[in-house]
Amino acid sequence: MTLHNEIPTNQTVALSDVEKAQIDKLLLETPYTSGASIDALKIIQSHRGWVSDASLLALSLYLNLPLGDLDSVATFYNLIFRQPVGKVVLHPCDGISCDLMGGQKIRLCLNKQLKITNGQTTDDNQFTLIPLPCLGACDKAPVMIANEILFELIQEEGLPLILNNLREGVSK
Amino acid sequence: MTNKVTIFIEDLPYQVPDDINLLQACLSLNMDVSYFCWHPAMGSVGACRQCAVMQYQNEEDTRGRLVMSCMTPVSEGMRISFNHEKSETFRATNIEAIMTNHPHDCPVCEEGGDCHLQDMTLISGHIKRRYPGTKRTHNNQYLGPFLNHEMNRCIGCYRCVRFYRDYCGGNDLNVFSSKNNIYFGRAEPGNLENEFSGNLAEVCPTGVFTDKPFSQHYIRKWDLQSSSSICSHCSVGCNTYVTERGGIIRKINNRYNEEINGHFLCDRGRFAYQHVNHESKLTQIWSRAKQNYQQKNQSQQTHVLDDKQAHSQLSQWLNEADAQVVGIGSARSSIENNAALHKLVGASNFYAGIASDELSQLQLLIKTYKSNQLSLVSLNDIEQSDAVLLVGEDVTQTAPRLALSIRQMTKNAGIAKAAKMGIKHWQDEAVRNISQDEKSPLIIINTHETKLADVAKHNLNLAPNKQLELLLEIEAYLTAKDAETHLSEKKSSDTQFSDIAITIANELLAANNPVVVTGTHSFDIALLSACLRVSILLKNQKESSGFYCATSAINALGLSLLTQPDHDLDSLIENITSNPPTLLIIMETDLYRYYSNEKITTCLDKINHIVVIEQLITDTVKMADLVLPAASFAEQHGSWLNNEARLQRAYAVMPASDMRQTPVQWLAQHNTLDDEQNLYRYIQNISPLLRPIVQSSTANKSDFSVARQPMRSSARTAFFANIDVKEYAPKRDEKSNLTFSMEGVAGFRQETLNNSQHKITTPVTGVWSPKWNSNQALSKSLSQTLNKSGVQDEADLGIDLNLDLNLGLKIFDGLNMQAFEIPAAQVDSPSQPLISISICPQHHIYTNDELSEYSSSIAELTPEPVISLNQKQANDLAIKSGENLTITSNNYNISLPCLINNTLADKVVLVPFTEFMRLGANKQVSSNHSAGKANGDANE
Amino acid sequence: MNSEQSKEKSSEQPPKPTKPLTRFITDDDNCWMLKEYQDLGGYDGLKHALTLSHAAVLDEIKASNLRGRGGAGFPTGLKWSFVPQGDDAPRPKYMIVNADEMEPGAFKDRLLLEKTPHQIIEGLIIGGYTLDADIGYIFIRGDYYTAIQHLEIALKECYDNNLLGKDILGSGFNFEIHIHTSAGRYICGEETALINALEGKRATPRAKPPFPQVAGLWGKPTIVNNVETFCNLPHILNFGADWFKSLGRFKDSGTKIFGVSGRVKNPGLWELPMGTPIGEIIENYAGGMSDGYKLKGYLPGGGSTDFLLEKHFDTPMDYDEIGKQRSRMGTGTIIVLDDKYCPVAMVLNLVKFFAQESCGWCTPCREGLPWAAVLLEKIEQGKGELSDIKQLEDLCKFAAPGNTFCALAPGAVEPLQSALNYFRDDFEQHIEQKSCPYCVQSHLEEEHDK
Ligand SMILES: Cc1cc2nc3c(=O)[nH]c(=O)nc-3n(C[C@H](O)[C@H](O)[C@H](O)COP(=O)(O)O)c2cc1C
Ligand code: SF4
Ligand code: FES
Repeated sequence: MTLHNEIPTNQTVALSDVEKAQIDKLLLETPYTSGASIDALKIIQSHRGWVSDASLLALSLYLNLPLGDLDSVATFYNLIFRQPVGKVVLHPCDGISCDLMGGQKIRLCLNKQLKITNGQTTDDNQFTLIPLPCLGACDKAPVMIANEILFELIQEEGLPLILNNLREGVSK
Repeated sequence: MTNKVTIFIEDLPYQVPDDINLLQACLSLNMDVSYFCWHPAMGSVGACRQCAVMQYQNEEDTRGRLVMSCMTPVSEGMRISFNHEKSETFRATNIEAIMTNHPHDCPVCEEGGDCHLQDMTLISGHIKRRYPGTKRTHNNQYLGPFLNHEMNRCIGCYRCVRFYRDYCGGNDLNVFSSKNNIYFGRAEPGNLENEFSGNLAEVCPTGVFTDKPFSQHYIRKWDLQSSSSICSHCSVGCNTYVTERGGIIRKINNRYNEEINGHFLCDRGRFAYQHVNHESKLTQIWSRAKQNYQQKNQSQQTHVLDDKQAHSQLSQWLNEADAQVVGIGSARSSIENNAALHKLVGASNFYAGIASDELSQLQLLIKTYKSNQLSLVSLNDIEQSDAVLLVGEDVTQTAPRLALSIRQMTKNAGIAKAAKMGIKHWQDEAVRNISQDEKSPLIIINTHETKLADVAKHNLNLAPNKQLELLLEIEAYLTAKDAETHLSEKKSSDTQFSDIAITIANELLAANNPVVVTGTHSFDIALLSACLRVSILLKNQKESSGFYCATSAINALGLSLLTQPDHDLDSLIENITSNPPTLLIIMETDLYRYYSNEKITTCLDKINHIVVIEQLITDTVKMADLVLPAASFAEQHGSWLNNEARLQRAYAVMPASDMRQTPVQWLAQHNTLDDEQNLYRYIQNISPLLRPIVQSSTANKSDFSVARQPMRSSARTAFFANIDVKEYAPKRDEKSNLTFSMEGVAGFRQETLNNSQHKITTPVTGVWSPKWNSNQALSKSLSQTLNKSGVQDEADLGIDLNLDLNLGLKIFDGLNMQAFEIPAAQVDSPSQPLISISICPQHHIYTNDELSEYSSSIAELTPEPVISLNQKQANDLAIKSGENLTITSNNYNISLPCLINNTLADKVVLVPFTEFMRLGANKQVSSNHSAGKANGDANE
Repeated sequence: MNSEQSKEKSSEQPPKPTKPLTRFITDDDNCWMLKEYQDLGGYDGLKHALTLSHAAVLDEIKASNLRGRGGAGFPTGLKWSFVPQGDDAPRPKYMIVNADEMEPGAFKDRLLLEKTPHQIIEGLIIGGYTLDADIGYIFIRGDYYTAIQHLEIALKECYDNNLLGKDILGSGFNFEIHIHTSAGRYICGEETALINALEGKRATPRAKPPFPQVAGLWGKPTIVNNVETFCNLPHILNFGADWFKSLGRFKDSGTKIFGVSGRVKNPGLWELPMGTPIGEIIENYAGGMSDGYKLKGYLPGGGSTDFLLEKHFDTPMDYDEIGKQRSRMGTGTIIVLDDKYCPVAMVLNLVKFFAQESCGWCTPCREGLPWAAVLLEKIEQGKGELSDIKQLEDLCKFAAPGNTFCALAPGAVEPLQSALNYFRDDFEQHIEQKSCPYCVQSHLEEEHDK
C-alpha cells in the first residue's frame, strides 16, 4: 500500500470524497457521532499518513465534534500520528520476548543504519522509526512490522535487505 | 430524606447521613482525610487515590482492605480505620508519587498559602523527597485574561476537565496525551470560552489555573483582609468573599451559599470587581460653577470641595424657595441608599433608575409574588427540579449562575436512572456512563439558540409574538387540564392545541417539580404575564412546581418595592421635558446607557442643579453640578433584595477611601434619617415587606467584634507595613461588628466535637480550618449543611451572626395571600403588517451590567457590537454578512455590521442590549436597499 | 439434560475432539474460510444452540465451568447471568470479543484470529443468542493485519450465508457484528476501557459498579470476553458440558492454548488440557532450553504475572493452582528468562512498557510506574543504591491490587515484586559492582530513545 503523505502545512484542508464516504459509512453503524471519532481519525491517517492540525480541523467540522475532543482522543492513542511520518513506518518490537531474543540489537542496528533515533524520520522522508511493544509473535522473535507486513526471526544481517525491499516497495 | 447510619472509625461510633460517601462523612467529622479528585459539587471518580482508608468486614476482621473513601458509600455498622499504618503509608506514598513531577515552586506560586496541595502534602506526611529522576515539563498556554496556566504544577486530578466539561458544558478545555504526560488545556492557546472558567482557579487544587487579575496585584492569603459580600453584578445575588489590601480589591472568592451559588460564581461576578480599583473612580467632591447649562458639557472650571462645602451647597439647593427636588434611585445601589434618597425627595418625586417596560414588569412580579399563587424557587431548588420551561431570557448572559443551575437540573433524569441501579448520585463517572443522553426536560423558548441549547430537549426559536402565542396555547391547555382534574369533566378538545404546546405542557405535568424560568430582559410584559399564569396553573396541578424570574440588576426588585407605579425613567424624562425640577439627584445610574446622547443631554440641560452620587466618572457624572463620590460595594454595608426576593446583607471589606461615602451618609444630614434605627423604620414604612431588614441591622451588633484580618497577620499593624513603618490605628467600623484589623474573634466560629476537636462552622471572612489553609477547608464545614437539622447552634460564642450565616430571608415566604389576578395576555391582533420585523435585544454577559466593563480583563472579552439575523432575513433585506445594517427609531439610529445566525427565528433581528435601550420606541430596520424596507417594534 | 441431548446426537458424529480449539487448523491455507470450516463441522454448535432456549444455552455454558481466557479466569456463565433478560431488558444489548492482545509475551489470540475467524464468529453469535443480544463487536488490535483481513472476509461470508443479519438460519434471531480496529494502547484490553474506546473516547477504565453487564457500551448491557473464551462455545454446545469438563487434567475444564517464548528450543503455541503441568509445557512441548542457556525463571502467564522458578514445574496450569504459587495463569503464555539475560533489564523492559501504557487516570500507575522505571534504570546502569531496592518494594506495595483504579498497575508490579524476591542477589550485585553483571556490552551501545 502506498501512502500519499500529507505535507506539513498550516493551510486548511478539505476531506476527500473517499474519506467522506468512508466516514459516512461509520456514522451509520454508531448511535452517536462520537462513536466514530477514532475510526474516522484512522481513516484520515490511512489516506494522509498522519493527522495534521488542518485535517483534524476538517474532521472536526465534518463530524461537528469539538476540535479539542478529537485531539484529546488522537493524542491518547499510540497509532494515531499527530506528527508527520515517513513513507514507511518501521515498528520493530520492543516487547520483552523480542528483547530476550536480541530485539534490542536489532533496534540499535536500525538506529545506526538509518541514522535516526526512535521517533524520528530519515532525511529522505523514507522511514520513521517507532518501536511498538509486543507485536504478538513472540515465538518468532525478534519481529518488526512495516507496511502491514510482519517480519519474523529478524537477524542483523538481514536488515539491509528488508529495508531495501521496503524502500522499493514504496517507490513502485 | 436522609437517614442516619452509625459507622465505626477506629472503633468509635459516629452518626452520619446515609446518602454520602465515606470521605465526605470523615471530613464532616473533622478528620483530616486527604483528597484531590473528589469535589463536594462534582462527586467522586476515584482517580487520585489520595483518600484511602482501611475498611474491615466486621469486628473480627483484623486484616482489612484499603478502600478509596470517596468511592465507598457509608453503611450501617461499617468499620474503618484512618490511622492504620497501611493506609497511612499508602497515602504518604501516593502524595510522594504525585509530587515527583511537581516543580516545588511554592514561593512564586499564586496558590502558595492557599493551596490544597500544600495542605494535603503535609497532612499526608510526605516530607522527604526520594524520587531521583528528572521531572517532566510542559509548555503553558495563553488562556485569556482570566486565568494563568502553569501546567508543570499539575497533579492530574482531572477536576478541571470534569468541572469545565461535565459541570459547565464547556468543550474547549480538555485532557490530552496519556500516562504521566497528560496535559490539561485547550487544543490551541486562546481565550477560554465558558462563562464559568474562573472557577477553575478555585477548583484546581494546586496552581495550574490561577486568577490572573489577582496575580497582577498579588497578596498572600494571610495578608488579605476579607469580608462577606453579595455580588452586585446581576440579579441572582451570589455570595462572595471580597478580599482587599491597601484599598485595592485583590480578588473575589466564592462564598458558599447552598441556596444560591453553592461553590461556583460566574466570570462576571468573579472578575468585574476591578471598577473599584479603576483609575476613573471618584474620590473627591467636585462642583462646577453654574453658568450656561447649554455649555455645561464643554470645558468648565471644576472645583474640589470639602465635606462641609458640599453639604452647604446641597442644603442651599434643597432649600431654594421654589425648590422642586426629584431623585433617581439605583437598581445597583442598596435598599438603604435608595430609601435615603426616597426620604429626601418624597415618594412622589422618587423615580427608579429603570425604564418603564421593566418597571412595569417588576411591579407585576411583586403583585403576583404577594398573592402567593406561585412558589419562588432558589437556584438550588432549580438544580433539584426535574423539568424547566425557560422562556424569553438568555440566562447565560443575563443571570449566568442561573444557567449553570439549569444545566445541572438536566442531569437529574440520569441520576434517577442510576439510582435505580443502586448507584449513588455522587458516583460521578458511573452516573454519566449510565445516563448517557438521558436528560430531564429543559424546554427553551427564545428568539435564537442560547448556550443552554446543548442540554435542551426542545429549542424553540420564535419571534416574540410567536412565543406569546405558544405560551397562551400552553396556558389554555393547562386550563383545560385543570378543569378536567378539578371538575372531572372530560373534554377531548386536544385538537385545538398544537402538538408542541401539548408536548410541552405534558412534559411539565409529568415532572414532580417543574419550574418556569423567565426574566425581564425581553421587556415584554405580555410574555411575562403569560409565564406567570402558566406557572400558577402548573402549581394548581403540581403543588411543588416553582417560578424564577431574572431581573436586570441586583436590587431591581428592592428598588421597585420603594417606587410608586409609573415612576420610571421614561416618565421622568417626559416630566422633565414639560416641567423640569430645580434639583435632580441622580444616584448610581448612568442615564447615557439608557437613552441616546441627544435625548438625555437636552433633558438634563433643562435642570438648574444636578447632583450625581456615583462611584466612577460616567457620562452622567460629566453633566453634574455637584458630584458626590460614592463608596463602592466593597466599602459599604448594605442590604440587597435579589430576584427571588431574598434579602441579603453585605459587609464592607475596607473603609471608604478618601472622600467617598455611602449615599446614605451623604444624604443623612438632609433627610433626618441620620440614625440607623430611623432609616430602618422608614424603610418598613414604605414597604412593610422589607421588615426583616431591621433584623439584619441589629442582628450583627453584639459585644464581640469579629476580625476581618486573619490571626496569622504577623502583628496588628503589620497590615500596612508594606507602605509605611508608622503604626496606624485601625479604622473603626461603626455599622457592623467587624473590625478592620485582626483584633476580635476570628472570623469563623468553632464547634467542639465530641472527640474534643474543633471545626469551623461559620466562615464570615474566609474559609480556614486547622491544617487547611486553602479554600477547600470548606469541605470540612459542609457537614453543617448536610445535616440541616440543627447542628448550627452549639458552642455559641455569644455572637449572633445569623444574617451572615443563614441564607438570607425570602420576604414573600409565609406571607398572607393578597388576592391578585394577573391580567391575561393577548396576542396582538393580526392587523399588524405581516412583514414586520421584531427588533430584540441581544444580551451579553460582559456588557449587560453597568460596571463590568470597567474591569480590564472583562473589557478584553466584550464582543464587537453587531446586529444578528438569519440568512433568510438577510436575503430579504438584500444584505450580506458583515455589511452594515441601519436601525432607526424616533430620535436615534445605529448602523452596525450584521452577523448571520441561522438559529434566529424568522422576522427577528437582534441588536446589542444597550443600543436596544437607547433606540427606545418605534424601532425600524432601514435597509440600504429599499427592496427590503420593513419596520416593526420589538415590544408591541 | 443438555449433555444428554448431545450424547444422543454424538452417536452419528466422529469421536469427540480432544483439541477442539485447534481442530479446524489444518495444513490447508484456506482452512480459515467458511467452506473449509463448515466441512469440519463448523457452525454445528450454533445450529444446535438455535434449537434451544436462551436459558438452556446459558445453563449449558454455566455447567461447563468455562472460565474466561483473558487473564482473570472469571466463570463465563456466571458473568453472563448478570445481563438483564426478558422483554423489558434495555436494548440493544452488546457482545464484544476482546481481541486486543497486547500483553507482553502473549500471542495466542493471534493464532485463533488468523486461522479460525469463523470459530470466533460462531462463538460470538452463540453468545449473542444466549443473551438475546443485538450487536456484536470484535475489538481487534490494529497491528493484526492478516487477522483483520480474514475476519472481514469471514463476516461477509456469514452475511452472505444468513449466519448473520436478520432471522439467522430461520431461527428468528437477529444479530450483526462490526469490527473495530484499535488505535493502539494496552489499556484498551481492559474491558471497560475497551468500551470507552468503542464510544470514541479516551480508553480510561470505568468505575465499577455499574458492571458492563448492566450498563456498558452506550449505557446498555454489554458482555466482553476474550477471543479464546468465545472459541470454546461452539464446542461446548456441540459436545456438551460434561465432555468439556472431562478435558481438563486438574480442576479447571477444557483445553487452552499455551505458549512459550524466550530461549527455548522450540518456541510456539499448543492446545493442551487445562491443568497440564508447567514443566511439561516447557520441557516437552517447547523442547527445553536452547543449547548453552539455562533456565533462570519464567513468567507463567505473560508479562503481568509473577516469576516462578524451576521448582514450580509440577504446578498444573490451573487458575487456582498457579494462584497458590503466588503467580497467575494470565494468558497462559510463558515467557522464559534464561541465565544470560539480566533479570533487572527484563523487569525494566516490562515496567517501562506498563508505565508507557498507563492511561494516566490514577496516581499509583501514572506516577508510581515511571518512578519504578527510573529506579530500575538507575540500578541497571550501575548507579543504584541499596535504598532504591527499598523504594522499589514500597512502590510494589503501593500499586498492589485494590489500590489502583484498574488491574494494569498491579499487574505491572507483579514481575517486579517477584524478581525482587527471587533474584534479589542480581539487584544487589548491580549495586555493589556498579554495573550490570550480565552484559557489560549493552551499556556501550544504548538505544537512543527520543
Ligand atoms: C490492563 C489490562 C489489559 C487487558 N488486556 C486484555 C486483552 O488484551 N485481551 C483480553 O482478552 N483481556 C484483557 N484484559 C482482561 C479484560 O479486562 C477482561 O477481563 C477480559 O476481556 C474478560 O474476558 P474473559 O472473561 O473471557 O477472560 C485486560 C485487563 C487489563 C486490566
Ligand atoms: S491502573 Fe490507573 S492509571 Fe493505570 S491504566 Fe489502570 S486506571 Fe489507568
Ligand atoms: S478523592 Fe478519592 S480517589 Fe481522589
